[in-house]
Amino acid sequence: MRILIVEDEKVAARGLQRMVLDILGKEISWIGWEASLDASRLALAEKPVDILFLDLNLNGENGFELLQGAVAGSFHTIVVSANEDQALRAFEYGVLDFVPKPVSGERLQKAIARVKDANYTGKHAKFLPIRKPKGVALIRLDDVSYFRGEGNNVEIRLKCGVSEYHRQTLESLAKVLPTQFSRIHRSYIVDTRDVKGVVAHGGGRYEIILISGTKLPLSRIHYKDFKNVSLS
Amino acid sequence: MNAEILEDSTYRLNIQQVTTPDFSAKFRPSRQEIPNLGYTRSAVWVRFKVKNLTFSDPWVLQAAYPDMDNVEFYSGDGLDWEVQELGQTLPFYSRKIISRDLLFPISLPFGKERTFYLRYQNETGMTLPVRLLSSHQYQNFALKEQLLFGIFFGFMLVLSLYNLILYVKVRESGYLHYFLYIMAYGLFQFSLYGLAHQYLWPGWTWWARHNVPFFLAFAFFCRTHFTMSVLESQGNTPRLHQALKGLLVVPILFSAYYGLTILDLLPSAMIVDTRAALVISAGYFFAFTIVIFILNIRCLGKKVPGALSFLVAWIFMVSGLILYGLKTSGFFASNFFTEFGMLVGSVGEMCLLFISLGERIQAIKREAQEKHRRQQQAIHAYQDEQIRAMRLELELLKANIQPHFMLNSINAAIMWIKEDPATAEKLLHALSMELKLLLKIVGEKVIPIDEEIRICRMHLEVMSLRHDKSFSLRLEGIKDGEMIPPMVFHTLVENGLTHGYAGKESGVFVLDRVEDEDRIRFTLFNDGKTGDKIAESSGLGLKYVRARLGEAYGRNWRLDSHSVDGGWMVAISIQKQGTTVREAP
Repeated sequence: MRILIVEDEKVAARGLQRMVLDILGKEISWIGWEASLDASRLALAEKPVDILFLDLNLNGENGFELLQGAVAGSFHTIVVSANEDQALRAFEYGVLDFVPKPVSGERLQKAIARVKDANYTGKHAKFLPIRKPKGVALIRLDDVSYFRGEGNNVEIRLKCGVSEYHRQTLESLAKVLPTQFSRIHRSYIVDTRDVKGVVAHGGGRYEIILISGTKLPLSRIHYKDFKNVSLS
Repeated sequence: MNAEILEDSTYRLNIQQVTTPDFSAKFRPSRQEIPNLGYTRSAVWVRFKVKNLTFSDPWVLQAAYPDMDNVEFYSGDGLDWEVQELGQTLPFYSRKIISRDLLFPISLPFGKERTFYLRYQNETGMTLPVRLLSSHQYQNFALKEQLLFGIFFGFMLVLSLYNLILYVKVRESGYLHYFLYIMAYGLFQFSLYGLAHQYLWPGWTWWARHNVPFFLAFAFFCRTHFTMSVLESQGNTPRLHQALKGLLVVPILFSAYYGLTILDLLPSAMIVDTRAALVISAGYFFAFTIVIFILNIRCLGKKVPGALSFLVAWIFMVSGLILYGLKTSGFFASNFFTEFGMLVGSVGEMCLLFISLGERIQAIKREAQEKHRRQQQAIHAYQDEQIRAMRLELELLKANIQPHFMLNSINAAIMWIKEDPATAEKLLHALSMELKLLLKIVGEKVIPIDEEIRICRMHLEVMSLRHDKSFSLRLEGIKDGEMIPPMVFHTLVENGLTHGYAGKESGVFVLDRVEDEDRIRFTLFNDGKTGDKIAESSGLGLKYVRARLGEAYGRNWRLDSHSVDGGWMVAISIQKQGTTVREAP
């Protein structure tokens, strides 16, 4: 597991690094520290990481700038900050967790556990920052109809019919999505409010029909979640 | 009707004497349609012959205007004379024909001719509109007249009561003056037309003769007050205001004089006759009119609200009075216009005065609103000032004891505990010292500079330990005990720390003080990184610093913040008292 700590205070960074090492131990293959936004961006571009620990206040620079770009990455972001009043906003941008300062080992462990928990889903995200050639764009999750995963990429199908593409695994993305999104298939996550009905084709083959008329495959293991939705 | 006139300056002739051939020859025919002898003290005899050529009977003789003091009517065959008496000197209820006019019934058989005599006595002018009318004619005339009087005085009464009610409700003295003025002026006219004698004081003959000048004087008194309050002459035309106040003495004296005479408290030698009173009134009226007229024109020039309607009202009133005066003195023939012109003028005047008063009240209201608005503004400004001071205090606390600062410091201390507990201890001590010093100065508008420096040093120590770097503050030319606004340098130090030291292992701040003849100049230099981004993002701190400097020094300070060789510098110049800020070259 590769970990990057972005923190402007040397002592705090050192302490956090030590705590993370205590928790993950040998699972860590690399752990690094950067103090500024620019250096962090370079580091992230150079080598992919699995977890980013991010302080929101970096020598007067606004960590949210990095946050948008960070969450758009394929890794999980855990904010470590004393500015608790910014927690909600951070969650809206899709961070996995917000660990307040002063950092306690217990709290940090909980946050790291979220990364490992395959069933964990976030509740607060409202936006999904995605990388675009010109920078980072924010997708409103309310505008999303469904996500389709394909390897390390995700197609984001918007309700208006347009598709956006985002580099992240569907599994990783599932953790930050709010509860209105439901996994229906190995490769699909839909906004349940956008589901019109379910069609059973027999032989264990099911399909979900969206309001737009789009048909998506529904796996048998997820069928139970949609049994009650009949096609009217 | 051919009237002949004899003026009896001896005042003693009786009917027997004037019918003797001696005096008979002295009667002169009148050349005027309405005989007018002006103001005379003489008794005036009028002789006329009437021959009845109609079958209409009875006839009435309208002998004089109602304000005639006394008129005797002699009818007879030349030997025996029957005499009837009318006038203000007699109680009203002694009249045979109930009317405001002085009427004598004449009964004359068809075809007969007879000579009649009238003897007049009046102090206020001898205008003798002698008319002979059939009682049918007179009735027609009187009915129309009564209707007009009803309309006019009804109007005056309603308007005055309306203004009284307004005064009671609004408590604006203009309405009271106006009410009193209408009452006085209305009573003056009511009396002038003989109606007061008929309806108000039918038995009070002395008062019936003397009330006209009194009411006129009182009307002028009220009118003057009304003018002063509506046109605000005290503020608008102070000198004319004084003149008007001087003129006010006359009606006051007049009223006092009349009060005393009514109560019979005045020695007889001091009793001025009605004629003299009229002359004084006329002179006063003239002076008053001129002052009011000039005052009005001035106020019109100054665009005083209501001045125009006031001026026109004044012209109405004056022309009404002049018209009446000219009619009474026989200059104009008596007709509808001259009889009732004054009344019509009064109605016009009253309406215009009412409008004028309304305009003024409106102006007052606007002024009051404006004043209220200004007061509110002043209150708001004061509150803003208070809020600003409070906000500065709060700002100080928030900026320095904000959770962000505290929690990050504690976080660092926790981290140090594992690595090196002694450093953790040092950090926590420095942090608590900084807090203590900070709490001590909260609420102060100025503090000694040495205290400020202690806080800065504590802060630098906290930050050194948090970042595991070494920050220091060097002083040059600082005078201990000099009073400065709190947290100014602290804020600047903090700004410098936040922006300048990423990637550097140490930092030096230099606080320098230079004093010359007219100003003290502090400069804070730090060897951190420089750039436009710094200036931009340190805005909030600089805003606090500016607010503090403004609170302590008003406008006598300057702040410059710019990058210099090897770092960043902030300079604060404070103008010494008694000198002015010089623009930087």
